[in-house]
Amino acid sequence: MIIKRLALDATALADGRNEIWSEVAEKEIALSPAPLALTNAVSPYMSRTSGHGKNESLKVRMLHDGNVLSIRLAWKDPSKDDAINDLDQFADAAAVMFPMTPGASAFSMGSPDKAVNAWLWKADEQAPFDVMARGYATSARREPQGSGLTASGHYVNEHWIVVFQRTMKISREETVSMVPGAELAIAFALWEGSNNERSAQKSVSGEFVSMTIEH
Amino acid sequence: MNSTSEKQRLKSSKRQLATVIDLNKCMGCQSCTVACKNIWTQRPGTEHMRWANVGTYPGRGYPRDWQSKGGGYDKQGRALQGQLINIVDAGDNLQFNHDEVLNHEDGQNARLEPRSADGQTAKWGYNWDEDQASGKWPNAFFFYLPRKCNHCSNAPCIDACSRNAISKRDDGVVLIDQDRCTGHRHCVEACPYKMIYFNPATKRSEKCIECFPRIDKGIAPACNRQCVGRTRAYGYLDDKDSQVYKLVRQWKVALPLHPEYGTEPNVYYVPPMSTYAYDSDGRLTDDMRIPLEVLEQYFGPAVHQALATLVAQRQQRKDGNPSQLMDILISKVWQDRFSEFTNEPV
Repeated sequence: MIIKRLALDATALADGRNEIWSEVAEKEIALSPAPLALTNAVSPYMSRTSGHGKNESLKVRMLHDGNVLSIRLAWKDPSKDDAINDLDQFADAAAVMFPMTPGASAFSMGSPDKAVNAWLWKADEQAPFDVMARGYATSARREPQGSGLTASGHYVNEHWIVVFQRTMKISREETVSMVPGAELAIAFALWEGSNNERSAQKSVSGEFVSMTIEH
Repeated sequence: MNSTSEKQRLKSSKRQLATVIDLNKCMGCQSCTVACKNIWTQRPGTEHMRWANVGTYPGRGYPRDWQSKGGGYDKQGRALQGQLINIVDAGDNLQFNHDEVLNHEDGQNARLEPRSADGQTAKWGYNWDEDQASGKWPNAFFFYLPRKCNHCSNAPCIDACSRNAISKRDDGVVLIDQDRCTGHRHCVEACPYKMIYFNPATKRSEKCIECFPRIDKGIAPACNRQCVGRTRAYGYLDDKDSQVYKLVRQWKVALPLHPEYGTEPNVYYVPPMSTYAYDSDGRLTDDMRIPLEVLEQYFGPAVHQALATLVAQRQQRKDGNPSQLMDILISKVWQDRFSEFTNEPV
């Protein structure tokens, strides 16, 4: 898959509801429950649970204009979980993840010598998180400003529409590199709040899939 | 990093602090509850929390029905999945309609009643079943059970945390790193005592911190220090001069709550001896009012020997002979109870 270079207004793209998005091709990605057997060492409690992975597919649109890379995620979700009002409630969430080093595993969120970088949008938060991880239990949430990362989410007709945008050329260390003409490997994840999904209890697209950022 | 050994590192400590609570002397006054609440849980999002609490047992307890919500380990040491609690289970943040009753013309018709956080008439709250006894007249019975985090030696919360945000200090105190916690609440599910509470304002989980800023200065935790019934002893389990050691290790009359949960808790209870039961003709018998099988459900089979020791030592003292155990249990000087944690808080 190619992440096309299109001269579209990045400000307009920031709202996933904007008609401008109809000019960008959409790809449907199948999701499956994250395999929790791998998490036994970090949480024998979580690893023995089942029933997660309620979201089964995700529609993705991606583009860049040489300065900003935009990713639009849309998925059907009959329950809007955008606030935690009780002790047993969880919020809907979505993430896009990239390897910092070739060969990093998406399932394990990297490893000690192979970091991964992720963008995390949560329906109950104002701003996204820029996440670094080197394997399970190591993820660190960072403020998005230093990465030039923004996100917006809208709930329309029982669907979430989330747009991530990031300045391609940034100075922060330990963020994924995005260069026109280069490869960019991506994985996706969704959490269904009404199903108590959080941490590794999620739907995932599988291992990283390599894309080309059009020159 | 080997994650399994990382968990072992997080769960280990050099020593272990422990609290002993004599249930024969607890009168359910809630001084421990209030002492804790005043210090630690008056921040936004903590209104429902009672890190220290006292309930009437047998009963649904606090948080509501905690004993049937799973968690802990099975006999083979495998993790047992548990359930979350909601804000009503956790005691809610009930408010009285004082304004309606006192400041309005129709106040005569308004009834003073607690309202739930959503404004509705409360149907459950902290200590809702206070003093509701079990058994049948004339042999009704109950006992008060003060609780807090057990700072377990085999802490399931540490195992459960997928972010390795929970660890034991060298003194055995279990803490949740609020910078690492992201509120996934696997720890809440795993704790069979349900002594971890989610804070919806910070979106992180919190629990008893054993008043560590106090104990670091040699001051006993507030719940222990403020106990007006002087039911509590505090210190290191390996300190042979401490009352904790003598009651738990030497005399074996202080027992962990629900040892079958497999977490090796470090709050120990001197079980209630209770008064004598009546027979059908209204005559006192030699049986205890609280059935032994009830106490066994809480403190395990060791409760039989513990009660036998307590009864025998009490008789020995009644007979005019000295008893180190009875001297400990009635010790009048509070400093004797708290080992090196006798500094003043001010």
